[in-house]
Parts: sequence; structure tokens; C-alpha cells
Amino acid sequence: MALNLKSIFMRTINAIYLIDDDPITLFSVKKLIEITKISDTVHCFHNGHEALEFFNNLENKNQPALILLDLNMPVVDGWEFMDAYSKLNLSTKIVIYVMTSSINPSDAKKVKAYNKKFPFLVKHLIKPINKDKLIALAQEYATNEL
Amino acid sequence: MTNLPLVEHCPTPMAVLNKNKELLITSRGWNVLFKHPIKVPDKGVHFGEILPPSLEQTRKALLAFSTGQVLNGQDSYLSSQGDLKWIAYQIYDTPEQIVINLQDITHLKEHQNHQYFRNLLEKNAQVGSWQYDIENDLLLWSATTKSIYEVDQDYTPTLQDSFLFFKSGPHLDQALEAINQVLTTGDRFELELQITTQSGKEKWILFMGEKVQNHPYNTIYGTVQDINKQKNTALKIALQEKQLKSTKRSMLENKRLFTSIFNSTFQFTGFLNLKGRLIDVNEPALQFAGVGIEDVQNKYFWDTYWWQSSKKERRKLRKNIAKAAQGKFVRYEAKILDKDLVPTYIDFSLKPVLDDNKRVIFLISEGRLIQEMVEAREKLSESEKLHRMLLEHSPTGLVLNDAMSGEFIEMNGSFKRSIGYNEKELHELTHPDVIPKGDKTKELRVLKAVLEDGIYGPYQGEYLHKSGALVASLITRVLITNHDGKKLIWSVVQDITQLQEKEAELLELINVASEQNNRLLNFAHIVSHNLRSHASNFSMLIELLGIEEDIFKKAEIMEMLNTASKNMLETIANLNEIIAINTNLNIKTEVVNLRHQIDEAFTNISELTKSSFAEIEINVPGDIQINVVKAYLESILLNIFTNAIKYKSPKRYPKITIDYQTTKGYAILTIADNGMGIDLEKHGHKLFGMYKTFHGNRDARGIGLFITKNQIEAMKGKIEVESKVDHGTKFKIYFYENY
Repeated sequence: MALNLKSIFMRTINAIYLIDDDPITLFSVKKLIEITKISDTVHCFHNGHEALEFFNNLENKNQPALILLDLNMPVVDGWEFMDAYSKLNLSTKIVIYVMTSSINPSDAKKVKAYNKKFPFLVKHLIKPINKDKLIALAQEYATNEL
Repeated sequence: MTNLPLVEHCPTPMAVLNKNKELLITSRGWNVLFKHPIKVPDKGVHFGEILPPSLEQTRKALLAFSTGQVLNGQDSYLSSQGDLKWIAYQIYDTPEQIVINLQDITHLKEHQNHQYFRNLLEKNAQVGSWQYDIENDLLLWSATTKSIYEVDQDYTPTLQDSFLFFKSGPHLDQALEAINQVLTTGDRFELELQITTQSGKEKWILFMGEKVQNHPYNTIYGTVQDINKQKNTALKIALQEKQLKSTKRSMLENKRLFTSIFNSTFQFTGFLNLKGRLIDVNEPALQFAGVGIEDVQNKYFWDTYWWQSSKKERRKLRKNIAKAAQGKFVRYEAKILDKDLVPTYIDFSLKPVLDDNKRVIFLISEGRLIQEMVEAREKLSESEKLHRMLLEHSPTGLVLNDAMSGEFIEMNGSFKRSIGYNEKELHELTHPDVIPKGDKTKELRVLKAVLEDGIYGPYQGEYLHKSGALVASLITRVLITNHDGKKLIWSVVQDITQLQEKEAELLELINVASEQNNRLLNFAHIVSHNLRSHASNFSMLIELLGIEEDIFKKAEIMEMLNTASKNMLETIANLNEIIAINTNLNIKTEVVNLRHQIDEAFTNISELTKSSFAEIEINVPGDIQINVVKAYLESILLNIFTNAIKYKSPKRYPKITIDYQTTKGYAILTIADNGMGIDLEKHGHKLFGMYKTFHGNRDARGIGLFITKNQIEAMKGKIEVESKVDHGTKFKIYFYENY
């Protein structure tokens, strides 16, 4: 019952993109999304460059509502990805969760700065990711959507 | 009838003859006179024949005598002693006899002659005579005497009156005493006395007198000689001599006085001939210049020490000496040198000295220190002493240069110390010699500004140290004009080399500190991020493990946990390595040959270079020794070289060029490749960061350059990078020489 109620109130997120160079993180987060069922579609990218190429190819089709973005990656890191993404003039309805294991306050600050800088939402999601965090995230997303 | 026997005893020379003129008898006197008795001869012999033959006149008279006659006459004969004797004869007769009476008049005759000679003598020698008959108190003056006394020839002197002629006082007293003396004792006297003649003329006489002892007449004989002329001449001469002496004495005194004044006055005095040569100069002038008379005497005045202050001053003097030699008095303010070569102003004059014909014979030169100047000099010397002390001991460098020539005039110890030259060396240099080449135009601009505005600065400039090193200085330059109108520049030079060094040191220290701070932060970040990321992986996997029911999927999760654990161990190992490098306590350094190390590194990666067909060019001399931690150097070289090959361009075979150079304090190794390069604008800031990878290589761990950088910095070196995408990358590794 409780689960049903939850699912009634929760709207499924159309697609979540995962961008992280760490295979364990990708595996774990993807698995947790499947378990919590907050979205039916999960795309994984190993770095910002891969994700950007993907966005370029799609040309606005099937845009994710949510991106879980790792910061520290080779070639194009999380920050660089956001800078590049903002220039693509895609939907501003997207929410980017900056996923980091860092508890460095400067990272939190930078996240806030990026949130102000871009027309889309940029939020901080501190690792480790677990079911509760993902459910809370989905609820918040639903609330904002309403 | 003559009593013949009576005749015989008569003392008078007498012969009695008969009428036939035959001798009857001769008196005793006759016999005495002729020293032999005339024998009465036989009758019939004429008396004439037996008279002494020399009595010619007597014989003639006797022959001519006739009765009744009385014949008188004089005759002379030679005595048996050969003397000429004079007699007076008288022949007369009595009724029966003829008498020849003779009288010896030799004495009388001689007296007459004496008289004659005396007169002649007196007349010729102007010597008057006098005689005084004591018994009869009878004074006789000769004619000459009378003329000396200027009395008439018929004047009859008396002894008493004669004293009246003597000048009263010592003259009269001496005359009286002399006469008394001669009267009583008969002592001869000879006096030079003054008389007043009858006509009132004063004259000197030589007054002599003597008593003739045992003379039949008790008489004093004397002479009077007019010695007025001689006496006056003598007196005059004596007077002249006296005057001469006193003149001499007074001249000597004058000379002494003059010399003492000449030398004791503060004034400088000298004598010049008309050509301008210095005849004499006084002591103060010599002392003032610190020279001896021998240094200046007989030299041209303008060539002497005093006048060497300037050419102008010498010319002026020369011109004015020529003027003074023309008879003009010259006075002006002159500048002369004192013994310390300090130019000094004097009130100077040249005075021509004229002879009776108004001709210039020599020049007197006078100089007087201007009193205010003297005082001012004293004050100046005091304040100069003070200033000199301040100058010398000032910690700031102070230096005085000629603005035009740049020569060094004055400098203090601080300045000398900061540029390493001593005073003597500086005097041989000029300002541009101690300015670095690159600063010359800048200094010229400064000089121009100083000449225009009087002051320039403070500005930061540089001096060239004797060793060739640059001395950074804070400089202020101030223009002054000296008494000659010469433009001089005082420079206040603060040596800021040390300050700059300290500043650099401080900056270095700050850099090190901030670097360390960065590293610390970075490290905290690494720890926080990397370790936490592993931890969060564990956490997620464990959560999934709890949820997952499928046994195969659980096994898959377990496999991942294993990987995560390995990753975490590796991260910890890496962190450990970084900590070891950064704490670098007790790491062993050694001197290694750089070339050897490079060769060895390439040997170690020879497989890689061969398989990638890499071209290696090493331009490092074989004799470069550097002090390093050998293990670090090996690790650094290996990392950079492998990177060069790993990130080669897909379009070409890799080529690595290694060059070596030195700069201040560092040996620089440059490693250039022709690889893919990296966009430094994008990635520069994280190139040397930990776990940063850029090219998406699978085996890139993002740790190599981070460790390389840490190792280089641990050896106090630094690493720089230049890169261009698709062209290549160049790393410059600075090895600190004093490590």
C-alpha cells in the first residue's frame, strides 16, 4: 500500500543521464535507479566529452529531465561539461545533480555559483548515493514540476 | 903799560903784541881757547904767522892795523876737535903795545842761526814757539805764535794773560795744570787744547812745553801748533764715524724691527722685482701655504704655490703685476690656495715703490685674509668636520660627481662599500663607468632632469659593482653649483640589493608557504575526495548487496567490491608516496652526471622507443654534474619521456629533443616532443594536479605529472610547460644548483 501510494504521488522521471568515469559508481547508481524505479531510462557516459557528443547527435530529441554528473573526469570534467552544455541551447527544464564524494566547501560554493550562472538548475548530490537520496530527489523533482 | 903778568892770568883770550906786531904774551883764556899755549917766540916773528891758520880775517885785520885804530870783526876757525868756532876780535893799541882781544862768539853765532832756522821752520810748519824765562817772569812768543793767537806782532804776552786765551773749562784747567807741572817738576807736556783767538775765533792748538834741565837759563821752551784743521777734520771724522756707527746701529735695529714686523704680522707681505719675481716674502705667507722660502724665492710670483687655484687667477695676477710695474697701485680680492689646497680669498694689493726719480724700483705685495672669511672658515671647518662625520658614517651612500665630466669628487664609506671600489679607484673612474650598460640612456634622462629641475628621484636605479654584479639602489640626485660655478651632483644612494634580496626571499617564502598550503589543501581534497569516493563506492555496493537477491548479481557486486578495495589500496599507496616526497626528511642527495641519467632512462624505455620509432636527440654535455635525489631524477625523467611517447601525435613518429642550459641559480633541462600537445588554456591549471587525465587514455592514472612536480619541488626546483595542440609539448625542468 505504502509503495503504491508512493508511486501514485511520484511521477516517473522520463530519463536520467549518468556521467561518471568510475565504472563502480555507474554500476551502483544505475542499479539503485532501477531499484527505486524513479526513472525507466538510464544512460551512462564515461566522461563529459562522450555525453556532449551524445547531445549533439540527438538534436533536442529525448532530452533527459535529470543528469547525474561526476566532477572529476578526464578529457572533459563536470564543470567543463556544464559550460559546454549551456552553449548547446537545449532545454532549460533540465536539472543537473553534481555528484561528488567531495565535502570540500569550495565545491558546494561552486555548485551554487553554477546554479546562478545557468538558466537550468544545478544541485549538489553528495556521494554515496543510496535509495533514500534518490527517492528524495525524485520527490523534489515532482514537487518542482508541479 | 900793560901789566903783562896780569895779562897772563886773564881768562879772556887776549894776546899782547909789541908795536912790531910781535907776540909778547897770551892770556890763559887764549890758551884755553886754542887748547895750547902759544909759545912766545923769538923776537922778530910777526904774530900773523903764528895765528891759527883758519883765522884769516883776524890775520888780515892785524896786518892792516895801524896805530890808533880799533878794528872789530868776526872770524871763524876749526877747533882741534873739528868744530866750527866763531870769534869776535878787537884789535887796538896802547902806547907801547897792540892788544888782540878775542871773544868766543860761537854760542852767539849758533844762537843766531837757530833763530833763523826757527823762524824758517815756524813759518813753513806753522808751528809757533814760545819761551818763558822763569827767573824774570818773561814770556816770549814767536811771530808764528802770535799769528796763531791772532795778536799784533808788537803784542807783549805775559804768562798770566796767556791763560786767558784758553777756553774756560777743561781746556784752561789742563793748560794751567800742565804749566804748573812743568814749572815744578819740569815734566814735558803735550796737549791738544782749544783757544779763543784775539779776534774771537775758536781753534785747536797742539800746546807743548818742556823745561830745559841744567840749562844756564832757567827757561821753559814750548811750541804752539795750529791744529784746528786737522782737529776739526779728525773731529769731523770722529763725528762722522760716530754718526756712521749710530746710523749703522739704527739701521740694524730698523732691520731687526722690520724683520720682526715683516714676519710677525698676520698680513702676507712680499717683495717683487719688476719682472714679477719674488725677492722675499714673510713667514706668515709661507706658513699659510706650507712652503719654504726656497720653494718660492726668485720664482715668478704667478708660478708659486699660492696662485695655483686657477689659471684665471694666475693670468689676473700677471696682468696686475705688469700694471704695478708701470707705477699703478693695484688692489683686488684674490683667491689663493692655503696649505690644504683650499681656495681662500684675500684682500690683495700691489704697491710700486719709487726712487727719487719717480721710477719704480720694486713692488710690495700685500695680502690680508678677509677677517669674516677667517671666522667663516673656522665655522666652516667645524661644520665641515661635522658634515664629514655625518657623511662618512651615514648608512646611506652619498656621492658627489661633477655633472659634466662625471668624475668622482666625494663619496662616503657606505657608497664605497656598496659598489666595492676604494676611493682611489673611484677617483680614476667617472659616473658612467659604474652604471650598467643597459641603464645609460636612462641615466642620461635622469641627468637632463636634474640639470633642469635641480633634483630627481627617488627612483630605482642600478650601480655596477666592481665584481660586475648589479647593485639595486634607490637614488635621489640633487644638483648643486659650487663656488666656481661648476655644476655638481650629490647622489643619495640607498643600496636596496639586500632589501630586494630579502623581498625576493620573503616572496619565495610566501610562495613556498602558499605552495605548501596549496599542497596541503590539495592533499586534504584528495583525501576527502578520493578516499570518500572509494568509501561511497563501498557504501553503495554494500547497499546493493543487501537489496540484490539474485545470487549471480550478488557475485557481480562482490567482484566490484573487490575492485573498489584494490582501487582504494592503490590510492592510499599513491597518497603515501606523495606524503613521503613532501615531508622529504632525510632523503639522500648525491651528485650525478645528468647525461648518464638521461641515457639510462632511455635505456629503460628502449622497448617503447623502438616500437614507436621514436627519434631521440640529446644535446646535453657529458660533464654536467647535478646534486639531486637520484630516485626522484630517475622517476622524473622516466615519466616525462614516457609521456612524450604515450601522447605522441597519431600523425607522426615521436621525436624528443633534450637541451641543457643554465640560468641564475638553476640548471635547466628542456624536453620537447612533437606529440599531440595539450590545450593549456583549458587544462593548464590541472595539468600537474592529482588524478587528472586529459586524453582519455585507458591507462592514464592522473598521477605521473603530479608526482613529478612534487619530486622537483622537493628538490627546490620547478617545472614549466609550453604546449600547442597538434604540435607538441615542451617541459622545462629547473634543477636548483645549491640543492
